[in-house]
Amino acid sequence: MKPVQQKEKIIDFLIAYPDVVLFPQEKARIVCNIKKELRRKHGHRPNIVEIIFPLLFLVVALLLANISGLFPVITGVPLLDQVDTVDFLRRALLYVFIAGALTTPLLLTILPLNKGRKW
Amino acid sequence: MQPDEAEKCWPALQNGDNQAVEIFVNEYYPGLLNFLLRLGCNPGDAEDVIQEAFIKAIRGLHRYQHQEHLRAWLFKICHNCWRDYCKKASRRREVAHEPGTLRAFKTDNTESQFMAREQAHRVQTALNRLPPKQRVVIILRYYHGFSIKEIAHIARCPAGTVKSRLNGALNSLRSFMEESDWE
Repeated sequence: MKPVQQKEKIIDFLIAYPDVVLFPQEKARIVCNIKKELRRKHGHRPNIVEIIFPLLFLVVALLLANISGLFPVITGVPLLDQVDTVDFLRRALLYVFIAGALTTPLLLTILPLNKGRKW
Repeated sequence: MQPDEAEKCWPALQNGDNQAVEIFVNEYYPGLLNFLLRLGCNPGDAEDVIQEAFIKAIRGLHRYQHQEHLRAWLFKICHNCWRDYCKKASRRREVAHEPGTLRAFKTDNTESQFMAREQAHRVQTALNRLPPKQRVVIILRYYHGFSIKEIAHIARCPAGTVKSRLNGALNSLRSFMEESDWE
């Protein structure tokens, strides 16, 4: 038998496997489930990174501020009045930047949750 | 779904319109179900996998721009979901059931229903003997009529590999048919 004929025979053999029948109830159930699932998960659910990031960020910023004596979190002594406002703002911005620089790479690389995730 | 209909459905689907979701699911569900059943998936698992695939597809529609290849894209998602499902199932040490045994086939009458079941069982036995990668390409090519390029996209491999897998699968099927002495 020629290869072309053999191929045709194999294809005929394969095609003999008919499609299954789909019942309308089955389709309706699937459609209903998908709609329900889409509605359920449509709202944005915060993931763990979105919760950890602000917390870690805040902790690092407060720690930096405390170390440099800008904001006495641990001692609780209200020294803010003694700090020059302009200097305070400048340093506060710097700490926010440093805290971001420290926490972002940490979260993007160390946490196993982010492995292989596109940002 | 015809390309025109797919184009009409597209913007509504992206907005999560219920009617569009219904049209979309009704149109593609049969093809995906038959694809999974022929791959050796049992009907219950196939429903779960297809549901997951549809949800992923509908959520990811806004990122997808090539609506002319919507069908191939959907099959790709379904295939990926099926592979993930198999990985999870093998971790849980689950065994797949006999495929398609509880389903009715598209035939004219009850007598041909019996014949169809017999035939389906034979072909499925032959398909089950193929390695999974060859099984996927042969099903996509001969049951769903995808081009080599589209199969390469779905199976995430070069077109040359698809051709080689098709050839290998046809050879294996031929040997199987000769062994079994089937006409």
